[in-house]
Amino acid sequence: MKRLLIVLALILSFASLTSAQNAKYKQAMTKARVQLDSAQTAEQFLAAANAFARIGGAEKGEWLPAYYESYSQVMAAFQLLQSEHAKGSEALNAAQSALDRAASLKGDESELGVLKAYLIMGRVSENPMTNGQTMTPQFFETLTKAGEANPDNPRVPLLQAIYTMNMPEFFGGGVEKARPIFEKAKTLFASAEKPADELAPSWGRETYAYFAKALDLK
Amino acid sequence: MNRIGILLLVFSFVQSGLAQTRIKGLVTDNHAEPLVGANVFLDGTYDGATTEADGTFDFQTDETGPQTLLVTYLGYDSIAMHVELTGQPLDLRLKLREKAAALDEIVISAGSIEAANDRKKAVVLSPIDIALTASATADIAGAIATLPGVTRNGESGRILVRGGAAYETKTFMDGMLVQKPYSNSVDNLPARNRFSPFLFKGTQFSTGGYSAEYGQAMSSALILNTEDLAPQSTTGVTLLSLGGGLARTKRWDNSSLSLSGTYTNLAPYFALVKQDLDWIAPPQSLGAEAVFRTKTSETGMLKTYATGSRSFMRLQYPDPSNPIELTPLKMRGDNVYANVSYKEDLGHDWILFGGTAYTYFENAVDADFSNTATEQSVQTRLALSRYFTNRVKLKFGAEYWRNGFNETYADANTGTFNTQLREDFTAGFAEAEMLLSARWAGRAGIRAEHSALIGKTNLAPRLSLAYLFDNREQISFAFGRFYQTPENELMRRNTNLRFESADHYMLNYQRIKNGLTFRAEAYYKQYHDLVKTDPATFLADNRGKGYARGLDVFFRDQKTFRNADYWISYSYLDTKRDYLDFPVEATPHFASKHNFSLVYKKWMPKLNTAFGATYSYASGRPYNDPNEEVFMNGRTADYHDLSINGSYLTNIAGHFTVIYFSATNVPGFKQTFGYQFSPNQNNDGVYQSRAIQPPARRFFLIAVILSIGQQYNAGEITTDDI
Repeated sequence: MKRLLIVLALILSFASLTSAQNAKYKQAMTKARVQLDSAQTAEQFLAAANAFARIGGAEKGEWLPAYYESYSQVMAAFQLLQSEHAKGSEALNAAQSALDRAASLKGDESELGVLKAYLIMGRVSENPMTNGQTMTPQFFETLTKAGEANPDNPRVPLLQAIYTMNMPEFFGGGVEKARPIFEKAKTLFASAEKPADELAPSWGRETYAYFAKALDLK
Repeated sequence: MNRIGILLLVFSFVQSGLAQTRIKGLVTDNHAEPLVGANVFLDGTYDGATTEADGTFDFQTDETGPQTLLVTYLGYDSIAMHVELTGQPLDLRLKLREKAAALDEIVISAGSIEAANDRKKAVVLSPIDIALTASATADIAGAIATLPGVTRNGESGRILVRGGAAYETKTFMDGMLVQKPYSNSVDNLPARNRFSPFLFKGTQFSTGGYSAEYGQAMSSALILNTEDLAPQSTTGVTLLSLGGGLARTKRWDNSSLSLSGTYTNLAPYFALVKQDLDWIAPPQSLGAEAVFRTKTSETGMLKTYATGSRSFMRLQYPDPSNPIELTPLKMRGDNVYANVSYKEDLGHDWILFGGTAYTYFENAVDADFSNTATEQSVQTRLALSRYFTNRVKLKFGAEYWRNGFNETYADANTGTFNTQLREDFTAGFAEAEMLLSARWAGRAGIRAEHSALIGKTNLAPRLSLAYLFDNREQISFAFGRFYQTPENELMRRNTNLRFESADHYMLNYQRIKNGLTFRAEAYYKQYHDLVKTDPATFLADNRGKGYARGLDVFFRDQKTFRNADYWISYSYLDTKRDYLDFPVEATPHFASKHNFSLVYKKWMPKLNTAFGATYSYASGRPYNDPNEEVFMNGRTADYHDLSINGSYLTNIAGHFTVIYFSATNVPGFKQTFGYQFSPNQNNDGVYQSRAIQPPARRFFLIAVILSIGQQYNAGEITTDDI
């Protein structure tokens, strides 16, 4: 009986240990997410990337810290490429290695695809003259696959729309071509259910709202 | 308290933690400049901080005992540091060092200008830069002419590097020598490079000191690496003001195939734009090309390229033996070139490169003489490379080629002469690239060659060394010896010759940072054993020699003006040589002392148009006037050229279309490349002359390039403001 009690106590305390760890993870992730959501400057995005990198270092089995680290680096890179080009390239490299890690941890296929496409967009922005030609088909191919993996992912049409809008008209781009794709993003954002995992990727609403306003979408 | 209680107590202590330790400090770079945004944290824990604007950080941790503190920062080497956490606050001064480049990120810049899509390397040009250079008319050799170290040369269209003659520059495609890189032409009419610039993902233009992998070029190597799989299936229709072409590309998962055909005819153009030459039948050419590339495995790639063409022309031509009166001349040229190359990662850091190339070339000229030259060559090459850690790379290989040259010359006065030469050429090389320390990189190689035709063997050392300030700024030095078998045309009468050779020494500074590129290179080149021909017997020997020295400067700015890019090249050249029929050492006719180019490109998104302009200057070149006492005493007038081009991108019936135009020498500068003199004095005792000039002041080209079924395919997609 005593032995059984000891075993029970051990199991219980381990359980409480892991749940404490889990709570700590959730808390740290939530805090880092707030940091990311409020980030405006490249430096703030890099600080968020740092926070996710720390969590990822402690929780080597979770894909979300690596995913968010990569996403934060991409966001930083878009700004850095305008101001400090070399550092922007470094941020893209860092984003790539974090994305590779997230992929090796078998993260959500659709979300990883969206992020991969975002990173390709960064590469095109890094060097439009040489990468525009070779990487544009890759960009759309990657997003098509991400859309097949989860047809309800609103970030798929969002990125498609932004890229299409920025593409010159004669390549099949422009505002008018982008408009229906934005509409699709809008529908998906509206019908998107609150994810079961509150830490799961849910970004894009604000970006959508910004373009909706700029383009005067109903 | 029973044992269970103790256990629970222990666990609760573990969970709540004992004492907190405060860790603060400052992160700087090597020059004590604070780094903002560095990540400072305890490895494997949640605890850490990002450095503030002044480089400081400050955080608390519940961890105790020995821990590893990690500091990471973009573009810098991470550091790991052992700390002991006891509850006592820690105050740390941490220094980070800028990341040293890996071996595969470094291009030793001495002698080498690289145009590549490679993101890792600091490269001077991208392939599309070459394609869109005004004045080049989409010709690789034409674009290379805007780079430092190259003498402008409108009469042959070939690349002349640092006082070297055209035959001293060789072209390599996927590692194999291209025997005949230029289209068939006759003297003083410019030829073009056979290959479209869009075939290549990387171009390395070397003005000296290049790798032991390449030989048989005394002055320069143009190293072309072909594209991998075509990105998608398309059908292309090209309409030129001079002809047209059709191309079909099919892409499968792991392979792609492209077939194309072109026809050009300059007759309609010459009817519109008056030419100084009296054409009987303006140049026509018919060509076909096939490219098949396939991934043989995850890491293996097999590439097959084949091209064939036939060209004709007939004109009233200033024959060298009598340049004053024109004689009718007929030229027909046939060319076949095929290249198969294979690359595979063998595992254990070994990479295999293999290839074979075939050339058939025939040039037949009929005038008051007839001359038919046929050349055939087969080349095979095998090389292996291996990385030893990421600091040392060893590459070695061997090649063999067999070459046949057959020429028949006949005229009414002298009769018929036939020359037949057969070459069996073998070469081997070994080269090591090394990162000697974080700041020093080097390359040492050796190449041995044997030519059965002249019965000689050579051994050529190559050496270069670079000091890296970082991977975007370096000073480098290179030395090398370069051998070349004398040209077939010089061996008509005897093959009892040695290799011609040149020693190169060069010192280079290069910096590529934030959209600005600057490079400067000083060089000295010593020629040995150049072929001289005896004016009486036409027998050749190796008594010639020469030198070239100078300074090449290149500046490029992709940053200052929005959507615009320009580069400036300047070369100073001092060269003299005693070769062929020169009576004394003199500056040859293909060298000009000063060369300057300004290349400007602008992308205008609102107009969907890319615009380019190139201004080139070359100081006058020497020519020999037999009416004068002193050899090579004449100087042509300085050369000026201002060329423009434009590409308008649009959709025609839903198909992506580029409308391209280019015009050379827009202001109509008078360009003279030299003079031809009659070999005999006229009745007044004067050698009469004819200026060598372009057949028309300006050259215009309009092209409409339609890509059917292609939605997204252009070099210039701007994604600013995303």
